[in-house]
Amino acid sequence: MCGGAEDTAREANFMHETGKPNRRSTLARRKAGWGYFFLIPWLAFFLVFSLYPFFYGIIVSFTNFTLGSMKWVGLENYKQIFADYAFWRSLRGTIYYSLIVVPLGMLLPLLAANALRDHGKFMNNLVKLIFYVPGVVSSVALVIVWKFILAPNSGLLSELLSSFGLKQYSIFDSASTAIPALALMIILSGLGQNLIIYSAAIGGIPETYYEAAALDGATKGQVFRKITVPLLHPTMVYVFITSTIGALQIFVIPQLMTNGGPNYTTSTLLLQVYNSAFGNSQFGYASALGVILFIITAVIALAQFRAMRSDSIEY
Amino acid sequence: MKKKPSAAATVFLILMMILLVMPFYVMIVGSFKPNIALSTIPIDLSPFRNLIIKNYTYVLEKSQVLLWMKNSFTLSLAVGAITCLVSATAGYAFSKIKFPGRELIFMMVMATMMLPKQMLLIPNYLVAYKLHLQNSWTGVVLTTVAPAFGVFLCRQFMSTIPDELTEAAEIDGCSEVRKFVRIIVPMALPAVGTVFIFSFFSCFNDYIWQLIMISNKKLMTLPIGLSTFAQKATSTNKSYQMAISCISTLPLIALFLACQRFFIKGITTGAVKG
Repeated sequence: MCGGAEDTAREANFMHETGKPNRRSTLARRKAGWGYFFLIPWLAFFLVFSLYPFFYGIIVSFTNFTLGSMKWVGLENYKQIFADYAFWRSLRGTIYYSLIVVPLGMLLPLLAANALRDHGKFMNNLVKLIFYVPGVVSSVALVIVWKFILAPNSGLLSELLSSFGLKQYSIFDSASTAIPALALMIILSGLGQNLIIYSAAIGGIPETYYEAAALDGATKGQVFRKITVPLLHPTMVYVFITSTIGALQIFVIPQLMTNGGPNYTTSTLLLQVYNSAFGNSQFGYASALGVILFIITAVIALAQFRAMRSDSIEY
Repeated sequence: MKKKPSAAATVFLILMMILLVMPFYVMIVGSFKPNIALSTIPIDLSPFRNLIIKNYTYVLEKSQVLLWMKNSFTLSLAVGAITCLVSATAGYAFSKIKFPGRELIFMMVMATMMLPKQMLLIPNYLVAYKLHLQNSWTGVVLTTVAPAFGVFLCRQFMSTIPDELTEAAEIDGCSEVRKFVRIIVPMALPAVGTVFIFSFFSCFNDYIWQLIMISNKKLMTLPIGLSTFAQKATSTNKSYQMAISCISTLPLIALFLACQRFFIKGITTGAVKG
């Protein structure tokens, strides 16, 4: 504990809060020691696997790093990134994915949660279960199935297309079809979590609001727009923040389906971080890319937190 | 008031469910079909005819899927146990003990919760490399553990345990460690259980850390093994791929069904007020 007036004031405040007599000050001090004691496991992880790597990553981003040697190169990695076609393509890809994954990933579970309001317990449990299952199985297994479904010429989708007389073509040949297809797979794996969040929030809205609306003869659409959505606003902001942050980390499905190709059109920033480190052994470059990804994420997260702070509803 | 679901709502839900179940249908039925049924048009996915079991016997014999499964289970159990230990102790400190800097340190927990671990992919790998942890259980376990969410959950739950309980124990001369082990942990078991289930599942399905930390065949986990298997046999045999996907997903689904309620509790904590 660092002494001084501030400390005494804090302790006095503590005494006041707990209502204990003054002589417990040493006891409070000893208790504070226990506080740090119980934090040791977390602190060890935090220091070794979060804080230290954080700063180490920043340092590595200014070096020409290979496993074994490290040479200071200043801003060279950053210059190289901003001149790199692959970086801009991956940034664009990340934005494209986010523009599909975030709105649909928010809207579909919201509609489902709202639809479930009028359904019985059985339907509620069944829908939640089925929405959640793709999220608990390995994405790798799902990708194997999707590859079979979407395979050009021999897949299920191409069979379906040809049965409608449409010509054969591979959706993974151009970004305009590949990104939506990959985004759809990503969305389908993440619906359950948001559905459960929305359902719980809708369950928290007092039934009287809906009864009043029903008495006034409001239609279901009106009820959804004028009652459910406004009251869910804080929840939607929360889902928006977590989905956006998640969308900036898209990795598994593009990596396994296309590995970012053809020509980086389906790549994402995190995939580019991975490939430049473990494909090209450019750890300095990859770290610099990681720092850029971190800055983008942190700025977006902070901006969204600001928006959320003044946003709370009391029933 | 009697509720009547609108037809549009029911249709929407049913269509969504069909879309979500479809890949699993293809996976399960496909795994019982001979390869020829899946690779010639029209593709035969009827669940009533032409079913064989040979794909499973082949995959179980020719791949290491059971070893990968065992590895994934071991890894996830270890990650789950460590996450619980870290979360419960830190959650206790943050909820029941006053110490200078508590709010500040808790803000760091929140920061690590919001900013995903993948941001630190490269430096974390380099730290593990420096500590000679690549290709070792210790390495994968330590880099996979991400306790922030668990700390948050345990703190929220433990702050609802009445102080009178711990104070009474204190008067009886109970030490801090004993108090934690005998009173707090048993009472916070639902939260600790949720933390365990969540970290178990997220570790089981985690791909990126296992991908960079494991190259040794003996340590391969399900996601890594599956993707190598799929790359090897992509163009040759679809039935084997469906069978191996089934073997690796169905146990997880069964486990999920068994502990569903923990998921709902975990997801709604923090997201929904009250």
